[in-house]
Amino acid sequence: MMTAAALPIAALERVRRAGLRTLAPVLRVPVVRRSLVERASRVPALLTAHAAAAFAVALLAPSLSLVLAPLVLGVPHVAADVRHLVIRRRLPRAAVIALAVSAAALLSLRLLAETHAVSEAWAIRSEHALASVCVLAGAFVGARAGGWRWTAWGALAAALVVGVLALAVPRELRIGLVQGHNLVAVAIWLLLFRRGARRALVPVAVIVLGAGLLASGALLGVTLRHGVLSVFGLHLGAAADLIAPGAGDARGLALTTMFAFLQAVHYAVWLIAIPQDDGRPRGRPSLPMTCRALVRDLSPAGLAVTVALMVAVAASGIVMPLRTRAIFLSLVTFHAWLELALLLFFVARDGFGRPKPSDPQATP
Amino acid sequence: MGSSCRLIVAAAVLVAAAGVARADIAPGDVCTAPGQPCQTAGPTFNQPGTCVATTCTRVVPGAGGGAGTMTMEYACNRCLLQGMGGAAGGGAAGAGGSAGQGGAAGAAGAGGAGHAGAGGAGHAGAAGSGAGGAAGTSVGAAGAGGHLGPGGSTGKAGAGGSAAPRCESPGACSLSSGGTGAAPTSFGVLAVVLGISFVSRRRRRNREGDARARRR
Repeated sequence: MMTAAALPIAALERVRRAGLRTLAPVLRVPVVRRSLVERASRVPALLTAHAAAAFAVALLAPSLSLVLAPLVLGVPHVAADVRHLVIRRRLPRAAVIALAVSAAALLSLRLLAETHAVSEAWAIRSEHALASVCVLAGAFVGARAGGWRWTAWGALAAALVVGVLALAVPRELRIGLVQGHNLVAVAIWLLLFRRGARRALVPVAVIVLGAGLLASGALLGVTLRHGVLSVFGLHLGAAADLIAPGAGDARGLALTTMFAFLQAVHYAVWLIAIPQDDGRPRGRPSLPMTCRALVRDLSPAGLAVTVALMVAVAASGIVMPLRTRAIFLSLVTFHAWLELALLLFFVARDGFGRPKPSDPQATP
Repeated sequence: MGSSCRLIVAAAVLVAAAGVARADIAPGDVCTAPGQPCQTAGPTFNQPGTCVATTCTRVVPGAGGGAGTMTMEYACNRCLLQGMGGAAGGGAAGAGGSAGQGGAAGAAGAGGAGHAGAGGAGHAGAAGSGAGGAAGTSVGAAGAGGHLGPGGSTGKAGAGGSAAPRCESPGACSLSSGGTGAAPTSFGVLAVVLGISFVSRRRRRNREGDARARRR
């Protein structure tokens, strides 16, 4: 019997198949067919297309991307974090508990700061101290589990640098974390999940080129003359106050357009590239297959919570987009630290390559 | 060197760094929710205040794409000290109108009730009687902008009255420095590290005990 949840999925699958049938003549072209069937080609192609679209939006309506992307894609992105870095990696129970406790503590600190129960300065100092320990512990535990090879020492050194900076120059590190978090997603995909190194160079080149062009300010005139600067009440200048403080008037705007681009790219990495590369190597999973894998990984309750949070954030975003965005981004700061800790853990333990043990039964 | 020792050494470096940690965390006086309390007010961006919507400016490349620049105004939020009066509003008096009845010189903005701000960033009315900003009330409410005079043609309402301290461009904000508040953090880090080290050593001893038992 078809459940209520399966009905819209089946309908969407029919739409998808109809779309594929319509595109059949194009899909018969060998190059197109190969690039869509072989995952090693499909994922870089999809990521390149998304990066190109993200570049166009960041150039012409950066505020649109800055406001809308977190409200719509923020929750699924955090869920993808948990799914692909924790659940599918079948980490030891103690590690999962430690991660959950750390995430809860970091989230609580942001909650206390948002409700003004503690000062922002105290919250950030405490958050950085705790996060530094998490990152250091991630690299250390990984190094211990995988043997003290050179990648382990590298991960430990990186963790130490991050920890020292987080405590010594918290403001600067915070801004660095905001900007660098988007690149951490690309690094996680490149170092841990991507298949086919040469083909991955194309999206990486597009991302680097796009980010460089926007950051250089060479295209800022285009944004200022032809772009929409204020969307949902967020002006590009106001966004730059928060994202690139101290960078100067024009450079701050340029860095903010770059941030809008990289933020959109990082959502594409977490919601398209990593899920597909963490799945089976050939073929396109249908929507029901993808949904079944989601339920298997997140559990029905976990998936229900994720969907409920998605709806809540989106609904609140319709009423008060800027406030919702600000609170949401503040509360989910913990995931940036945990991504960093887990990246260093896997690099220290397994070197560069697919994190082990990956559960072969769990692939969609 | 044992694994636990390595962790302790690494953590010690972190704790040492915490000792010299600076307290300048807040990104200037920026805040996100107008009307809500904020904690980034004051000259060193660490005092409680209220988030106020105001107008900020940035100097950006000119529209022609050449070497010229133009000023871009945008709505922004700033965290202003509680109880601070509005600063002088209106800025300079408006220049007299060139046509019609001619604008009277705009009155200078009245001083704020509290501390006088460092000057509102209001643009003077280019023409017409640019009435100065009204006195700020309690929390640096923005003064009313200058009205366009009857003879004015291009008078621009002065966005006066925003209280100081005000940072027109984040780039101009200076960072504070100091060593306050790092000690509790350091102790916290140290406590966590010692805890991890203790648990780690205990587990190792247990494992060694199990291994000895198996050998026997």
